[in-house]
Amino acid sequence: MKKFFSTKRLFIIILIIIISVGLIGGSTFIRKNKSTPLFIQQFGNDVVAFTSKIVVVPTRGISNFVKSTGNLLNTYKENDHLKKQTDKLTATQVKDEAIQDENKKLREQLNLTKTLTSYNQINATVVSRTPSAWQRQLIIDKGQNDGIKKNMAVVVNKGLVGKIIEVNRNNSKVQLITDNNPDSDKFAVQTSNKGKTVNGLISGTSSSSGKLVMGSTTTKTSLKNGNKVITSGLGGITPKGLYVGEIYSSSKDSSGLPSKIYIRPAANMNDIDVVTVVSKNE
Amino acid sequence: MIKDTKITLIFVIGAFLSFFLDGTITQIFNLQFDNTFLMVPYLTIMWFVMAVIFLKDYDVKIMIWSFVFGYVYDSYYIGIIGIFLFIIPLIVFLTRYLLKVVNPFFFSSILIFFIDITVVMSISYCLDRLSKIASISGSPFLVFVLWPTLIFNILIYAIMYFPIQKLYNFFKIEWEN
Repeated sequence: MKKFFSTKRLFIIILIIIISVGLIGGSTFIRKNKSTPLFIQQFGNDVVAFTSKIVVVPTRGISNFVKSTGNLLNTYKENDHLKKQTDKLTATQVKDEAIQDENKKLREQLNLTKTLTSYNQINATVVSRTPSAWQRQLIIDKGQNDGIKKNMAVVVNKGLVGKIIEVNRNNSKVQLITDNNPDSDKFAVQTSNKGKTVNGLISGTSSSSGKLVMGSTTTKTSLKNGNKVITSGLGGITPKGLYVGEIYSSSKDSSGLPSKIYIRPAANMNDIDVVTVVSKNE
Repeated sequence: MIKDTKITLIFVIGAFLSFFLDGTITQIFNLQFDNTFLMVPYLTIMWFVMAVIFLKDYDVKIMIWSFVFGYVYDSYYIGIIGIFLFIIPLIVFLTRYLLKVVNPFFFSSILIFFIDITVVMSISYCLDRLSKIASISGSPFLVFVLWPTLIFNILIYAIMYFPIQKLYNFFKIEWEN
């Protein structure tokens, strides 16, 4: 052991530790404060993302084949169920169109062209996912060139999944809402019961059950399980009305405030193939 | 030390493939059981450990490549530079050190790989705690992440050991002729 930690080796080890901590600190700072990473990093990421198609495309082909075979077995049952839903859907769609039309006219009368609920959409495919136990990040195949900016909200058809944290030329990184990073910005969400609105923030995931935790609530309104939770549009970046999930349980602390509300996310965070990046109309 | 560009080429291509497979496997196969047990593939680490073992007598500059792939790994997957940039070279160094003590047969090399993965996970956990990426505490990390990951990676190592050995041997023999 005495030989292993010779003076030269010890010096190198200490030097490496210092450089490593310095680099980590520096890149965390850049990631938090700048909209895009350094040029070298961005260039490297773009090249890697482009080359990754060699592996990604065939693997996705195989996985899609397996998935579609599995789906085939469920088709009959699903078809029966879907037929019933279609009738309902048409009625809702027609009503929705009428309401949207009315809404537009009313907005014009009020000179309100941009509201919290209007947004643009960019579709993207998920290329890869960070191989890590605690970092829940996706890498998608659209970037700066397609108009993606940092902090935009990311949804799948069922609901909110995360936000953009790093933008390169032709790819970007998405941080899922289940990521527990205490440093990242939180989503402002709201839910309502009997006409009363409760605002709060998504503060992370409970590690045991995989449910989202909604904190920073300020009202005493009691909430029912199953109430829908949507983004509130407060904070200015995320549009209003993106579906997050429904309330699973809420626990009160001793002062009577609902201290923690657990939300069952609508989207399955472990199976995301295609996402939509949502930006506010400007 | 034997100089061989073909072996180097195979090593680099394989490193790239395993690097991309790390992300694709995590994306496509849901490596999470019961929302608690998490398995993380470390194919890049596996490829480097195997290269150190199989290409002992070859002049491949694995150390330099380990810095390159460490940087790419940090930049592309994690977004924070300085974690795998030093972990992968450390693993190359550690494996070389262990090879002086242990003869690399199938089972003994599994033990080397076991130590390597434990070191990788522990250091990356500590550094991720430092940079506030990871928020899980020590004992859940040991129970729910470290053990499943070790089992998963060692299984893959055991499956891939002989095919990769064959692959290198195939090109080595061809070169000698």
